[in-house]
Amino acid sequence: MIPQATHTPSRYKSVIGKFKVRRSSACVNCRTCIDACPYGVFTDSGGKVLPALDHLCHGPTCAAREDSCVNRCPQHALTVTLNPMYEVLGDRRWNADLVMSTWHMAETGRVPDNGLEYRIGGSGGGFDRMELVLPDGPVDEKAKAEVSTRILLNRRGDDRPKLSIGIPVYGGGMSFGSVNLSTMLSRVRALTAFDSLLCTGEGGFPDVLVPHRDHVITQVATGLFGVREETIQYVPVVEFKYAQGAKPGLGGHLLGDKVTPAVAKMREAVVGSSLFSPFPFHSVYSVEDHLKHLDWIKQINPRALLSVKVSTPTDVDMVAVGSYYAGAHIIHLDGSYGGTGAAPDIAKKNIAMPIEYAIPKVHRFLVDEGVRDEVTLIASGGLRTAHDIAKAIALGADGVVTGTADLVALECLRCHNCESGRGCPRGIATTDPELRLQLDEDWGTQRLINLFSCWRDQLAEILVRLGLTSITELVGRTDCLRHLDYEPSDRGRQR
Amino acid sequence: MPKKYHIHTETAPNRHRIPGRASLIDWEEGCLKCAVCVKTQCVYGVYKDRRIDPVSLADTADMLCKHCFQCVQNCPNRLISKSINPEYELMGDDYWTPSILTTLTNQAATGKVPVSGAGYSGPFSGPGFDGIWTDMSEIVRPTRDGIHGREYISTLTDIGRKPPFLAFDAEGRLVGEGSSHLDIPLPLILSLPAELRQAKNLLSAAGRAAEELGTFLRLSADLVPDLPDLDRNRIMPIFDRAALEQGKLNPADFRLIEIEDFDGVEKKLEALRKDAPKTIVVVRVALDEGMLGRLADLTRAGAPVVHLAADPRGQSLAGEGGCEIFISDVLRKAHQSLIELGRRDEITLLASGGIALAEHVAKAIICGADALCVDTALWVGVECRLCVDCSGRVECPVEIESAPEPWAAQRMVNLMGAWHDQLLEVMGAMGMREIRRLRGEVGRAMFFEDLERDSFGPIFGRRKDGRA
Repeated sequence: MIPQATHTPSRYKSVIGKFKVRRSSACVNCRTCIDACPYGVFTDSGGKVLPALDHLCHGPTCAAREDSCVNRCPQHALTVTLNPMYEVLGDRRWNADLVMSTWHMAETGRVPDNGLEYRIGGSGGGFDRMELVLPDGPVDEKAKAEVSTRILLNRRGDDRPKLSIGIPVYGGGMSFGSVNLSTMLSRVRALTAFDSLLCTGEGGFPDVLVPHRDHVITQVATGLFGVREETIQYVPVVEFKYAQGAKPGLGGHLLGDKVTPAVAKMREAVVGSSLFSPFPFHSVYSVEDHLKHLDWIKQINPRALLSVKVSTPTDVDMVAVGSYYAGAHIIHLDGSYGGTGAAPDIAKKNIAMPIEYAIPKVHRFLVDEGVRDEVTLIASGGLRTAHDIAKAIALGADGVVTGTADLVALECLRCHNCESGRGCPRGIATTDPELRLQLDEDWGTQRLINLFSCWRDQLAEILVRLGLTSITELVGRTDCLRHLDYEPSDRGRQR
Repeated sequence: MPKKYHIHTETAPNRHRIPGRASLIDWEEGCLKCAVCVKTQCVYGVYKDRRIDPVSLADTADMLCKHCFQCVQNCPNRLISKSINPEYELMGDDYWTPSILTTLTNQAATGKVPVSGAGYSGPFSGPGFDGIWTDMSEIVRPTRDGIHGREYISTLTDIGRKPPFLAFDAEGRLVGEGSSHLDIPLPLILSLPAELRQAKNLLSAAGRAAEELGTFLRLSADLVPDLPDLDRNRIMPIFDRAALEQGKLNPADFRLIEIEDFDGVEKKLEALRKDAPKTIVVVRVALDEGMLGRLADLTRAGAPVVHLAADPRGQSLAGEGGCEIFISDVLRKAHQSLIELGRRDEITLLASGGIALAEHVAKAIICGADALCVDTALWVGVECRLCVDCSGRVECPVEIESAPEPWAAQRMVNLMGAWHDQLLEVMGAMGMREIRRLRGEVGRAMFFEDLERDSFGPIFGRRKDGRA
C-alpha cells in the first residue's frame, strides 16, 4: 500500500511564491477573479475576496492571456509580477525554485505545474549539470503502478534478516538536540508509512521513538552520546558514524544554547554546555580496529544490520572496501555538501569531495573487487530531489539518505541559523520549549508523506520511461545520464 | 615540546554596519492592529527598539534580521516583505565577493571560526581555489585533533635558505654555511595592500599586530622612517633599486628584507651576504613567461627566498606564452620545477595575491608555497569595503583614517587568530601535525580537473571546456 498524499497547506498565513499578485483598493469583491483562475489563487470568505495565494500563481505569461484574472477584472485591480522576494530566498544549491517546489510537493504531493524548476538547483556542477536521458511520450500508468521502488539492505547473505525498505530513501541522522521531537516524530512516521527507516543521529534514543523502533536506525558516533545497550538492541540497523560530509574529519558540534535540560539528560551532559564529539573514534585506526568495532555491535544485537557512515576522502574507495571486509551491510557515503546543524563554514565548503564524484569511484572499485553485489551502497550529502536520487542510483548507489529536503518540506528555508541562540525560528531545528510548539507532528508527517509520495511517483515515471520495472535495475546505469559540460560525441564508453 | 602557539583574540566590534544581503520592507499602511502583532513575536527581537541608526542612517532591523521570514509569512495583511539590498551587492567585486567581505569583517570582530547551521550553499566549484578540495582521513589513516587542543598542530614555518646537507670536518665541526633561516609561528606575513589607502594608523596597527603574532610586517622601505615605534625585528622592508642605492636604510638592520628582481641581482645578493650576513633576502620575481627560468637561476645563485606576487585577485601572466594563470597554478608550476631541479628544500617560496580566506592559505601551501602574505584581507578586517575609489578624492565610507590604532591592531590579530584556528581544523582533518609537511603535498588535496577526469571521464568522456 503506497501512502496517499493529501492536501496539507502551509502553517503560515501566506506562502512565498515566485510571482506576486497585487490587488488594489479598486476591488469590489465581484469574484470574477475566482472564476477566472483555474489554479485556485483566489478564494473568498464572507463575500470578501481573500489575499491571493501567490504560490499557486502561474505568473505574467498566464496573466497576459485574454481570459486571465488580470484581463477579466472589471476594475483593473489586479497586477501579476515576479515577486521581489524570489531573489532573496534560497542559495546556489537550494535556489528559490527548489525551495518553493519542495514546499509545493509537501503541500500537494505533486510536482509544481507553474514552471518552477523542481529537478535541479543552481550550483552549476555535479547533479545540477547532469540530466537523465529519458524517452518522451506518454507514460503507461499501469506499468507505473507496478514498478518496484524497494531496495534490499542486507545483501551479504549472512544469517541476519533480509531487511528491505519500500523507497530507495531513508532518513539521515539528525540528533535530538539538533532537531526536536516533533521533527523526529514527523520523519519517523512518514518514513514508516513507506516502510523505510529513520536514523536517530548522535543524541540518544528518545522514548517517544521506542514505539517506532522497528523503523529506527540508531547511531553510534564518536561522542557515544545516548548510546546504551538497550538502544542498540531495539533496532534493525545500527549506524557507525565515522564522519559527516558537512564537517569531514571534524567532530560533532552542539552549541551550548541548544543543550536544554531534556537534551542534556538524554546525552548525560551538562545543561548549557557546548557538546563536541571528538574526531575520530580513538579506538579505530585501522580496518582491523574497525572490524572489532562492528563485532562489538553484532554481539550486542544479533539481528541488527550494520551501516558504516563515512565521508569522502581521496581514498574513499579503500575505506568502502575496508568497511565491507570488516563486515558492514551498508556503506553510507556522505558527500561534502551535506547538511548539518552546525559546522565551520570552512569545512562545509572545502573538505572532502562532493558525493557525485564519490559514488562512481566507489561503485567501480567494489565491482572490480568483486564484492559490489554483497553490499548496499547508500549516498547522501546534497541529495535534494527525486532526480538527484535517480542520478545517484544511476551513478552506482543502491539508495540514498536525505535530511535537508525533509526539513524544507517542513518549511525550512535554509536561513542557516540552526546553530545559534534558541535555534530554528520555524520550530524545526530547535528544542526550545516554546519555539517547538510551532510544529505539529500530524501536519509534519503528512507534509513528508506528500514529499516522499511525489518523489516515489517521479522515480516510478523515470523507471517506466527507461523501460525498467525496479529501481534496482537502475543501479550503475550511467548510460541513462548525460552531463551538459561534456562532449556529446564521447558517449558510449560506459561502464 | 615548545610552548603552544596561541593567538589571543578579543572582541573588537564593527564600527560600521555591514550591509545585509536583504532588507526589510515594512508597509505600515493597512495595518489591521492585530491583538498580537507578528513583530512582537520575532525570535531575534528585530522590531524591539527599532530605529534609524544615527551613524549609517540605516534601519537597525536590517542589522539584526536573520531572514527567517516568520513575520513576512505571518502578517495577515502581508505588509512585510524582503528585497535584495543593492548596497550589499555593490561591495567588493567578483573575486572579493560581498560574502567574503562579510565573513572577514565578522572574523576580525570576533576572532572566531565562522560556524553556521545547514549545509554548504555555494556553487559546486569555481575557478582558482574553488576548484580544490582538501582531503580528510578516516579509518585507514589517522586524523589529528587540533582544534580542541588535544594534539598540538604546529604552524611554524621556516623562512630562509637551507643547505642540501651539512658537512663536518674530522673534528666534527661544521664546515661551510649551516642553515640560515628564521621562523615564524604561522605561515603568514602581514603586508600592506598597495592598491588601498595606507593611512598611518593602519600601518602602525599592522606593525603592532605583526609583533603580537610573532610575524613580520612587509612594507615599502620608504615608509619605515615614519614608524619609529615599531620593532625593526618585525619589519620586512621592501627595497626598490633606488632605495638599495641610496642607502638611507641599512639592510643589515633588518632580519628580513625584500628586493625586486633585476639584471644582475645575483651580484647584489652576493654583496648583501657580505654586508648584511644576518639578513635574509627575499627576491620578488616578475610573474611572466620567464618566471620558471628566473626561479631556477635564483635558486642556483643561492637566493634564500623567492616571492611570487600575483595581483590582488590572484592573477599573473606566468602561464604558457605569458597567458593569465591563477596563483595556485603558478605555485604548482614553481614547486614542481624546483623538485625537478632537485633543490626544492633549499629555497623558501613566499606567495601573495588573492589570499582572501583561511582555506586559501591551506590550498596555496598544498600547491607549493611555504608562506604567504596577507594584504587586502587585513584591510577588509578593519572594515574596508574595497570601493572602486581609494584615491582620497572621496571620503572613505568606513572612515578608515580615524580607526583607533589599538582597535585596528586587535582586528588584525583576531582575523589571523580565526585563520589560524581554521588552518588547524583543515590540518586536523587531513591528519597533519606540521604545516611544513603540508607544503606541496598535492596528495592532500583533490583538484576539480582530476576528479572530473577520474570519476566522470569513464562515463561522460571529455569536457567541452577541456578542463578534463
